[in-house]
Amino acid sequence: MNKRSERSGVRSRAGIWTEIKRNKHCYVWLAPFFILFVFLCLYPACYGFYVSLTNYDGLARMDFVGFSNYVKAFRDPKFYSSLWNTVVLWALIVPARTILALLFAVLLNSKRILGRKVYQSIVLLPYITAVAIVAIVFRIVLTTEGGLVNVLLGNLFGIDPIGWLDTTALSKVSVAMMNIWRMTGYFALVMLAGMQKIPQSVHEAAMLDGVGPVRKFFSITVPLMMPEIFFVSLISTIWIFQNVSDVMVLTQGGPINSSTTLVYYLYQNAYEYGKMGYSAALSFILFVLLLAFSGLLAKHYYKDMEG
Amino acid sequence: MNKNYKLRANLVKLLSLVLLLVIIVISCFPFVLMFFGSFKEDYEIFTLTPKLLPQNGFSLDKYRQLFASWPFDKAMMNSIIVSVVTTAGACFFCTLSGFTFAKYRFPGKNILFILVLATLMLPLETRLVPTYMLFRSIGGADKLWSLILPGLTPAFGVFMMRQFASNGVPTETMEAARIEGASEARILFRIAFPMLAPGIFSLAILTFMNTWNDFLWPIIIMNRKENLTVTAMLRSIGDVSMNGGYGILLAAVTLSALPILVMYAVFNKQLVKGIVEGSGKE
Repeated sequence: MNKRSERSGVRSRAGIWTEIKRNKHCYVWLAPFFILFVFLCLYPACYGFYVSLTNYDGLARMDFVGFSNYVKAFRDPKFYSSLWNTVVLWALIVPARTILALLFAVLLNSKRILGRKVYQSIVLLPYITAVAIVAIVFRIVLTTEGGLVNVLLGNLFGIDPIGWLDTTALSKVSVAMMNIWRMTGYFALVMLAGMQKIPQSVHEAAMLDGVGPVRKFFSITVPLMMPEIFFVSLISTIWIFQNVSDVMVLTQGGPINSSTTLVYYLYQNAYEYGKMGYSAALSFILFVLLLAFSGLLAKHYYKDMEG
Repeated sequence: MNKNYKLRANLVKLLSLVLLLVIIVISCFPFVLMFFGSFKEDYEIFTLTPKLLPQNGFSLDKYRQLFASWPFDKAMMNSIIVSVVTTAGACFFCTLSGFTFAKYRFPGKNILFILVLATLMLPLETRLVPTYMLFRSIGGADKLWSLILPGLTPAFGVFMMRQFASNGVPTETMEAARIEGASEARILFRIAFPMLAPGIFSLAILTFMNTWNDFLWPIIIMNRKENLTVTAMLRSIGDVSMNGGYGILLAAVTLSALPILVMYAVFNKQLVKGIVEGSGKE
């Protein structure tokens, strides 16, 4: 009742004005964020769309060319292959990583295991380490001749050296392996936080009924964890479509562009080929591709605020 | 029946312990390799008979060569300045916005919050070229402040502080202060900031880590290598070391990983809490 009258008070014009005046400190406190937001985010985003309609080369030339950059993109085989590479990476990474993270979370959640906190911290180590660091170590370990992985495979199983980073067939697999190594621990802890919200009584009821751990996992844990599984898949999807660092250091898009992702291709266009206008068009296409996913994410956070 | 259940439970427990140990080993091995590798010659790194420890002992040659051939000390300084200033600014601005969104009702609040959410839809990758053009046109090329400015208002920090503020600062306390005649600014600085200190601390470590680890923006806006951050310089060193000199590269890798690893070890609890609750990075 009280809430409703407050709201209808806001609705009248004079009421809004007094409300604004009464709360003017709120606007002052939010101002820094919004000034920087407009200056660094909103303005570049709009200006980027304009740049995408020009043939800007990074130096002087900047003529308006209409939508020809977009037409060019849709006829550019390298654009399609970079998009395809990104989709393949998504398929290689997201399902495997989500399942692994869920399993890790179950393991980390098991009671009466010595040093649970220590395990949690160690599992998060890959996530807190810079991509550049991880990629350099992986590049060394995955070297075809004399890299540790091939040496171990050769010494233990007699397998011939595998071209992890030098063959078009495996470059994406290597990027996926590294990404899974890097991020699974983080997602496992997100899942673990959700898992710990499952009330103890559920576990006790399952134990009294003699439900085994495997069945418990599929008929209790997984259904109750659906919100976390959804959130993790959503964030994963967005991050994979945005990701450029993994590829930039590990494979540099190679060999023969077999691991060039969409963002790496737009980076190359801007800073290696000097085609800034075209790159801006590719960025806008990326923005549109991500819109549905990032919109869902925004909604998730919005609901979080209401609740 | 009951006995069978117990046996099965124990088996599962044993299996999970083994799996956990495997996970731990896989999570740690690159760090071990990177550390020992920084004392090795190339032929020790790429060999059919790999040994864990370096044959010539722990000499600091690679580290000396690193500092002799790269302005790595300058890069270290850049990273420290950029990370510290960004962290301080981000903590202040995010606490301000997060607290306001959590604790006040004012016209336009929803629209403003939706605008904050909109930043999630416009990651740097979708506005790389225009942001680069903007910073170049205001003279930001090769300036440290162009590395600081974009990190000052991370949206995730606003969500995180809003979360902490809505649970961490009781409305009753604020009411009581108001009755005693405190201004809203006084409430913010004397009540909210101290009460939010643990949350701010989590955010600080997280922002520091993200800023330290970022390399895409630095390599774009910096032309001269002495202006790079440590992490961005790693990429340059990596490109040069493609055909030899891996020891130097691994020395650089070890040094750049060290501050974050030490911080993680010391502030482990806050960092884990912040990462899980704040849902990580931008």
